[in-house]
Amino acid sequence: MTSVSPRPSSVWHVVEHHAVQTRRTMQTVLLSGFLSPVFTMLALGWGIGSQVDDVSSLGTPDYLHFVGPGVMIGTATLQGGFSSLWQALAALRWEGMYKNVVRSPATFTDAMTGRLVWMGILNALSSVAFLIVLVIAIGWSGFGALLTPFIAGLTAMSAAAGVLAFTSRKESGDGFSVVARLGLTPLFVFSGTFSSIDTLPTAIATVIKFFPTYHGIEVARDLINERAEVVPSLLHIAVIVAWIALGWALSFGGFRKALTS
Amino acid sequence: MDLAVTAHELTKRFDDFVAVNGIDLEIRSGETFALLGPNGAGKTSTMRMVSTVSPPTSGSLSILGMDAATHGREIRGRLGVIPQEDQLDADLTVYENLTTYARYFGQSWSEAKQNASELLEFAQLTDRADTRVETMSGGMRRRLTIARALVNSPDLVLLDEPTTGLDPQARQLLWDRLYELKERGVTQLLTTHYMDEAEQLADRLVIMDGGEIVASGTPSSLIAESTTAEVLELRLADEQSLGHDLPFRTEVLRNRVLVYADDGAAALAHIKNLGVEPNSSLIRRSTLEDVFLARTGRQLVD
Repeated sequence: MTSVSPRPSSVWHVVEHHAVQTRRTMQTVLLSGFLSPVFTMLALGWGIGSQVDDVSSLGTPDYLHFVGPGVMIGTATLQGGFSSLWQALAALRWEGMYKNVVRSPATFTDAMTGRLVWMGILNALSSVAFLIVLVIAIGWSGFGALLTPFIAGLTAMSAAAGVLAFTSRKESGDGFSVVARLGLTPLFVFSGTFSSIDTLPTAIATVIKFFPTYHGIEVARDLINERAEVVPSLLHIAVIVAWIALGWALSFGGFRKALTS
Repeated sequence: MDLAVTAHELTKRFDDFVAVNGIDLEIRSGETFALLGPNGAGKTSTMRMVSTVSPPTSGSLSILGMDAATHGREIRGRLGVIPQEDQLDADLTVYENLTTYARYFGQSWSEAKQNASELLEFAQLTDRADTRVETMSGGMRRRLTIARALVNSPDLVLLDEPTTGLDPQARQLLWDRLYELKERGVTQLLTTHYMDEAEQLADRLVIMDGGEIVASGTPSSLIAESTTAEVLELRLADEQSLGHDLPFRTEVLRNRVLVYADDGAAALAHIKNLGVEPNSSLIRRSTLEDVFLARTGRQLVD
């Protein structure tokens, strides 16, 4: 039986393919992945932040130090998750990108892995630009901040993988708006992006902790504020990686059926 | 004899539906081989198995000397696949479609670019290199699809209904490109439901129906074995019939009657002597359509 394990060179070719495609839509990518979240962060950090008298409960010097990493990781969640809805369905079903991929030496697992890796790279790169603006706004806080784009990339991959598990079994966009409105948007809003999850009802806070966005925000916030510790950070990252693995595994059957039946 | 494809008892099932039912195939290196049959005959399922995209349910399949079950990546690296639908990257340029796809076959960017220029010339698309695919005509897209399938200089090219939906001019141009490939010694396996296409392009063919092979051979041998040299097509008035004592095989279709005879003119004279005056008549040579009708009792294109 032919191995279905992803092969790094083929995965990379899928990544390249997505990169070439993305060049064509760079304006949209820049707007949604960089400019829009930067404006959101600055508006909230400086605007609403100026109205916050006491930030001691947040554990950061000011509100911008708190909301900046939150918006960075929250945006990565949205970008990653949304990319696995209509875009992924088009590549898998309508436009046939991945049908072409599996006619080459690449396999369906190369296609799905390449897609997730590309989401990670794209969002890490967007986050580098975001980080530069953040550092200009709040000042240099230490080398740990340089790791935040990596965390953003991983979080984007985890959201992309989770949603891809759903999309890979769909033949149309039915239910996508529900995933977007009741899944991705609440994750962006309630994962500790704008306020600590301690302010949420306990049940909601507990549920939020199952999802990767909260963990990404916690690590990124600790890194930006120079308070990251190795073990807790690795545990947060482990949750994110577990989501990537779970999403990948759950997407496996959908991709196989769509591309090789 | 060097074989590009060998299949034995090849079967593909989708739940209870049997798409391909235990067929045997031998395709020689360098030949053009056609799978001819109506929609639902099992042609595309066979092609997908040969392209190692869809695993057979049972049976053995060897392609270019390798077992399809264990050497999928290696086999696909030497195949060129032209699917029924073009499935090009509509947002990319013609040139980018070729270079991006070439990378999947392990080519460096410089190799991919060099090959792309040659393929654009082959497909007569050099002046369209920087055109985005979404603005191109159906014929141009089809030529680009063929060019893209050749990025790896394949030993075996699979063409699934290559000219469906094309106008006659685009179809002829595409046939010319396929002749060129044949002259280069590339083995071609094509599916079609156009009998003239199969006759024009194929050295040998099989006729499929209901997932099974109902006839195989060269186009001329199949016609010689299964039908007469000529066919007389008659359109009769509603109240007319030919009776039952004609010395020719006949097929009554919805709006015409086919009379199989080696001499169509003599058959027409015979029928007129019986007092039957058709509204119109046409004498033509037998085609693969007639072979299919003879073997299955049905028309190839409904």
